[in-house]
Amino acid sequence: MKSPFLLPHQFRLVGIVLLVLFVVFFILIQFEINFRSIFDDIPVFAIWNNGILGGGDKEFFYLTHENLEFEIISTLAIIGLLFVAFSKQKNEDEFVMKIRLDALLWATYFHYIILLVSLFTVYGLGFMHVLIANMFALLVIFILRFYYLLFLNLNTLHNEE
Amino acid sequence: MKNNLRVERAILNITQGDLAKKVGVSRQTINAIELGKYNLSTILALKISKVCNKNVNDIFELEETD
Repeated sequence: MKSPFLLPHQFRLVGIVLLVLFVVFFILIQFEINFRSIFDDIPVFAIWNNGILGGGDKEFFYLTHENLEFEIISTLAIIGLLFVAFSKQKNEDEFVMKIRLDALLWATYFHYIILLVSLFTVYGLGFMHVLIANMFALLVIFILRFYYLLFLNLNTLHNEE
Repeated sequence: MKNNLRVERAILNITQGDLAKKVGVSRQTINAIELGKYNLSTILALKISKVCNKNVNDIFELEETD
């Protein structure tokens, strides 16, 4: 079963590099070493800017300058996760594709169960952290499930005569 | 679905890896098919029947539960 939507196998390595970069940035930020000065004052087109963090007199469709630290670092994680999740395996075939789709369905259910539980157990600013984690959670759960299922099937190799 | 792929392989005297290479899938896939853990696609069944030089029905068989 050939899927036109999968990336070439080499993209997995690129994805891993991006994720390593993300982890390095993330850890440094935890130690109060931030990169706000590097990504500060970058011109962007805002479709919507609203709320206590948003400033200015305009709200919709205008050119502005923003600090893009969060945006750039999130992009590293999202692109990295997409590349790792949806690049072809070395031995990609219809069986791997079935495992892939099973894992995706499982991950989607699991992801929304977690979200439902958090809805009723996490309140206040804590829930904003849940929402931020949600940006990446589905792909993370999918990747873990997918590689776990692949590992289980690799383990049956000893049945070879 | 039942199959006697293992027997057909023994007749041809080829390993799972050999058959996998001939039909363009991984060895794990052939293994999963033989163990009944994976219901293969029609295209793959036709490729395997070609290698074994038999009809698909002679290799793969419906079970009551299917």
